[in-house]
Amino acid sequence: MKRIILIVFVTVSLGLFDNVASQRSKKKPQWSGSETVPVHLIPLKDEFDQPIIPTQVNPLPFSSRFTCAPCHDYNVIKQGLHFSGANPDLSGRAGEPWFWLEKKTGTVLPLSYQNWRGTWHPSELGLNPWDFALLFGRHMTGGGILEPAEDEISPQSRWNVSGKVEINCMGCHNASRIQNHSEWAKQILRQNFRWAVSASTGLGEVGGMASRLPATWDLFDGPNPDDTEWAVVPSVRYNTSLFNSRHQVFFDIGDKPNDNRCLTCHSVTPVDMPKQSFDADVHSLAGLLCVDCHRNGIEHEMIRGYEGEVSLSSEQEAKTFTCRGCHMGTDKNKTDRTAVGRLGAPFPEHRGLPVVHLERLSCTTCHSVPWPSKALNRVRTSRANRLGIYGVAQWQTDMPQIFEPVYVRDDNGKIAPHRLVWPSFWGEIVDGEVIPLRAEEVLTHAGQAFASEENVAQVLLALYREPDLGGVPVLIAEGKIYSLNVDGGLDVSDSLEDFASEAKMWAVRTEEKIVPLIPEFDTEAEMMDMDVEVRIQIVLEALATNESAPGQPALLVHDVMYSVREGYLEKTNNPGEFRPTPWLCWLVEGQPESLVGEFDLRTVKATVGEEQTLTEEQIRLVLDILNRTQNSSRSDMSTPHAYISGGLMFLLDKDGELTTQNHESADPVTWPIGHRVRPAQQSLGINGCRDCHRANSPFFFGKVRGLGPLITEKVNVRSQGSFMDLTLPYQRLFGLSFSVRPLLKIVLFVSALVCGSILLIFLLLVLGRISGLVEKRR
Amino acid sequence: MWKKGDRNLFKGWTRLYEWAKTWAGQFYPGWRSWVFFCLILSFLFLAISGFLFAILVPRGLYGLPLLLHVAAGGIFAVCLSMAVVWRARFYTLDVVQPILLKVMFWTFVVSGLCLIVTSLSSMISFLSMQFQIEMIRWHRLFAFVSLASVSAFLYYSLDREE
Repeated sequence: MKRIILIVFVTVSLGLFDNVASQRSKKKPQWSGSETVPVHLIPLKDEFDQPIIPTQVNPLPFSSRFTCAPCHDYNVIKQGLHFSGANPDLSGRAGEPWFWLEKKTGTVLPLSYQNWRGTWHPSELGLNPWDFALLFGRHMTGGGILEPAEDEISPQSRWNVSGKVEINCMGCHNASRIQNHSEWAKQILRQNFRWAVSASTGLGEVGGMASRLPATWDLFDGPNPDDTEWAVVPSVRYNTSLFNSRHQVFFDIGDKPNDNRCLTCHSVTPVDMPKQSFDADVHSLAGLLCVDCHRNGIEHEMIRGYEGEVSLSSEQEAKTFTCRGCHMGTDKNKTDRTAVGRLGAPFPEHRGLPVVHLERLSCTTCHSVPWPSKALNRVRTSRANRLGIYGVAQWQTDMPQIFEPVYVRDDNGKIAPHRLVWPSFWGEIVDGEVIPLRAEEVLTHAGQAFASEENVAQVLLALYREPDLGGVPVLIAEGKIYSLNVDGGLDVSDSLEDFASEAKMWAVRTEEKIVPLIPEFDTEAEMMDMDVEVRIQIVLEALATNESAPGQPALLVHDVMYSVREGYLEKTNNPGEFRPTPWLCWLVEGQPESLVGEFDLRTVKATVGEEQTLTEEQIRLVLDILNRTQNSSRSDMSTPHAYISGGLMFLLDKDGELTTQNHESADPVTWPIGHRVRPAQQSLGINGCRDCHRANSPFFFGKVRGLGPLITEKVNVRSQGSFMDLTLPYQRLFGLSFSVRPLLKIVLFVSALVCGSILLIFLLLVLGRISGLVEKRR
Repeated sequence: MWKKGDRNLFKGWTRLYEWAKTWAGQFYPGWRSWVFFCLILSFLFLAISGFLFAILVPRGLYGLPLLLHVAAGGIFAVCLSMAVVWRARFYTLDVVQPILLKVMFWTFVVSGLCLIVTSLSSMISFLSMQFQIEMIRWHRLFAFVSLASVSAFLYYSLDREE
């Protein structure tokens, strides 16, 4: 009996112990108390949780999920802010959206999975997580939608080939300078998703491109020995010198991620400013790291640091990491310098500042971003303009055009500085709403309307391939020289005076001079100049290599035509009009057509060398084509189309003329700015009230001009005050009142002096009477 | 204290106007009457705009009324100082006047001075925001004191006339 009781007792005790132990293991991991960071000398694991032996043939890339798993709970970490961008339940203050850019069609579409004003949900544009990964994975952290569950994988995607993008832990935590974001971006572009972490960490070299593999390829298929040139299967070759005999590798993990890691995706810099002129945020200059304020626990629920975040975030500490939290403390009863905030932040005196400013403005209004001026400042951001990816190819883009600061009243009713982008896109008008069209849809229907630069470039490219031309082929038009650039587009430069009057001429540029592609010659001479004859043949043969040529090339001079037939130069009658000078053309169904059409030439002259890429003529043409196109996907009938640019909606009226309208789809997208914080001595208002309160102050009356890819004078122009929901005539009057405020102060001072003096005299008289020094008057 | 007929005292604008006209004619001859009327009107506007917003609007005084309040404050300050220069001698200890009138007069002068000082100090850029907040609080208090003193002064003056 005793034995039975003992066994029952032991069993119950063990059960209880196990229960308590398992409950403990589910609890949030506690800090051991040590301020040191453990040495991360650990073995690598692949995505099947198998150890990686770097000397093996074709080892797999390492998996952060399983390599970090013994100590860090991947499933907890992946709930963090940086991996939850696509979580619709993630509310809070708007952030910078992603911008879907397509230069040719002039498309700049702000996208977000959150319901932020002015943005489009990717699914509204038919973008699935696979598309999103290819477009924006270059500046994403992995995890989240880049690591979809099996039931979330769409049939059009190639996740089985590329693998999923696991969280790039080392992208933030690697203290080693070998961490290479450019490598990450390249691997994402090549669809080498599962190899991107290994490549960017610098533990090995990754070769091959998953994007070139057939959709049926699988990791278990292994390398393809028959193709070592084109469709090479991605593979990693580990740097074995980094591993010890137990196949462990050292990860250089610091106490806190350094700012470089954050700035890879969060840089914001002024356009056209040399690097040495750029002043960083005052907090960085003071030695603070980004993560000193933007803290997180193992859940990676990072503090964003804006006021009101505490009501949304489970991180109750968030309140203490706002501007006010650090500088003024969170104790409402302490409103003077005895208030204690975080990190030894100085208490702001705000001398002479009416308290209403603290109630109506965010701290960043006066303390962040450049001083408001008549024109907005243009900036580039890492994610929008693809900064921080280095290599031979230029990754960074001029689009989207981002401006700051625009002072916008936010959802809390406070005015805060924002960045702004005007959207531009082609759309279909359905029930008064503009539904964006994907760029490829527009190109399918009206591709030729966007191909002007390409058409000219292809002619030049065909000529460029001919080495015997003796120089670089160029097109001269109205005083400008157009030549090929390395990206296959055109560069423009000013022409020499000799050709300033030429409407259009094909020429060859040598180091010394520019000469016509075909010199003038006598067509009626008995014996044609051999050099000219050879030249004509070379040019015509070179032009014939243009794959998009509409016909055979020919040269018309006076009333004769030269063409190449079966390798010989043939001279026939000119089927077209008389040409006083040599004129190159295509023969289309026997009729001569210019090498480059008038529309293409006008477009090239207007757009090449300009940031804007579209002309009103192109818009009119494309809208006309789109309006005549039946869109079966949304409607049985053809619907009107529009182009959004510069804050206006462009559409065709009933006469086919281009008109503009205001439309909410054309409104700019804005998002609040947290940094660059200036020192207090440079804050807005340091010179007094008139920094903002004057008749024409940029703060209230600065103009915000619509901008987009379209070359046009028709743009939306708004004042700063319109974003603040303020009555501008009153603000002007209020501003004017500050002109007489010094006078008011003098008046008040003199009045106080007079009243005070008489009061003093009266009091002295009373005192005199009481003391008997002054006698009673009779 | 409060007689039945006095209920119409502040309702009867005509009566108030008549009193002011008589008072101005008696103590502020010629162009000086303008100063007296400006003082009364600016004080009335300041009191109405200030107290109405303080009581009814949580945000307090703002916008155009605030702008007009500040402008009226300047007029009030100038007129008050002129009125004090001209009338102080009639409220000294030696002059035969009811003591209550003297007290109310000097209370009005003191509170008026404090109103000027508190508004001026909140415009000066070398005082801290916390100091300004205190000044606005005091401004409201002195506004109440000045209104009370003017009311009592007026009541007593009208009572004496009757």
